[in-house]
Amino acid sequence: MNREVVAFLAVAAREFRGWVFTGFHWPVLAGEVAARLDGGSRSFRQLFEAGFATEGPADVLPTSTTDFAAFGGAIVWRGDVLGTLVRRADLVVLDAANVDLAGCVNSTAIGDYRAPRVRMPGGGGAADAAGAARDLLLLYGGADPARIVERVEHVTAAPGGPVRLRTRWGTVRLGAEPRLLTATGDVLVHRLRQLGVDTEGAEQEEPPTGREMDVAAEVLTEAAGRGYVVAREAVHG
Amino acid sequence: MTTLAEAVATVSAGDTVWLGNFGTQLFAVGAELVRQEARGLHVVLASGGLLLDRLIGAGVVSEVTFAHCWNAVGPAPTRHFRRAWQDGVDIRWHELPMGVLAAALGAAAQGVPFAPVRVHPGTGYATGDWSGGMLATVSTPFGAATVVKALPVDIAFVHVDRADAVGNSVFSAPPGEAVVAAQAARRVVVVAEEPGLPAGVRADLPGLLVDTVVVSPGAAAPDGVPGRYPRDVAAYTGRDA
Repeated sequence: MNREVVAFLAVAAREFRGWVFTGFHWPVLAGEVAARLDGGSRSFRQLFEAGFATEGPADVLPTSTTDFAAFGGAIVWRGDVLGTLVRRADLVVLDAANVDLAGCVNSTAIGDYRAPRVRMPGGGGAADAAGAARDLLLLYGGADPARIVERVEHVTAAPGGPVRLRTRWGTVRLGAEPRLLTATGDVLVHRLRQLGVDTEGAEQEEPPTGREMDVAAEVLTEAAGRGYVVAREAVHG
Repeated sequence: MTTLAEAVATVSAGDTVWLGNFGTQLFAVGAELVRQEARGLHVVLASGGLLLDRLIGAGVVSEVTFAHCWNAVGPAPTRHFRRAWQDGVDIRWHELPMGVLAAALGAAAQGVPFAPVRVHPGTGYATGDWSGGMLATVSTPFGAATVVKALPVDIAFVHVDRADAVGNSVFSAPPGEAVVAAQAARRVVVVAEEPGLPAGVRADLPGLLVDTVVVSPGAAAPDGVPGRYPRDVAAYTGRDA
């Protein structure tokens, strides 16, 4: 098992507090780790773009935010989220496979929009959620620091307020004045320096506990069996 | 009540068809559209997924309004969608944020020409006409606003858990934009897992909105329906992603 990925997930789970809007992919996994670590205290609740909220762990690990049968009994409410409730959330957590220093995410196209070299899936509710977020956290759990760029080619989602990016190598504040917040190793430091970002003053991330690592590894193992490509890679190499 | 085949046979070339639901997609309706060789449809599907991908691959659609399209399990790209864009297939696309798409349906439901929406000015939706002419800026005595054009629907296929003979229906999964889509539609077909409403259960969708009831157990598979069947991960990952 790739311990770097496990640690990324374990530490990202610490972010979940209050009401959290949880986006597709890595955020689902981090939210599930957080819910299992939370035990019975129910210290946070999750909102999802399909229009429902949950408390506590899912019945089985959801394959996506639309895997309602997996959330099952955890569903406590349903209604509009993107138009009204997301801006009330304490934190919005979204996946970001291609992100720039301003905190903008491209999940639409590489190359010309009308004639793309690579057409990506599009943003779904990410534009609504990012733009309305009071506090936006982007997660990139992949292994390629070049996915962080000075300026993305197309903007699918742009932050409406403060935004941070959490990676397996640390966390960076994006926006008008990007700044490295925490670092584990030097991969993120090198990438940000290439992009002209000051990396002085970063703190060391508090390492995950054994319990956090165990739960994150448990979730990743289940995710590999539930079709997550990133989890298969992390578990099986 | 009628059969799925009969309900789908009422769809005509040029119709705007909303295919539900977000997360409990009506794969059975999609399969029937393909089997009946439907052509020239404007398909509205917020979370396109494998259902939209299959319709694109089968040549069913000429126009698409969507928020994203991928295989939710993996996640993985959807190949017909990707190729259609990359190869320049003659399909008219309207790409909208999901909340804005729901607002467009809401405007149609209320019978007004547009709805004010929140679109971040830095995104391609605002700067690049990804919407294909569905977004505009208006100035009013109450301030300027970005607006989305109303999206009226000719026929909406709505997945429900149960429905009675007059169409009073209940959902077992979060309905997403299903209710507003039904309200935006000229005709509504509910596709139920089981007929009848248990005593004392209140309808989520009133029969007033419903024209046709179809009972089709398993209609959302390989998606899952809470309390009935899980998402079929093996089927999802074995599809042509």
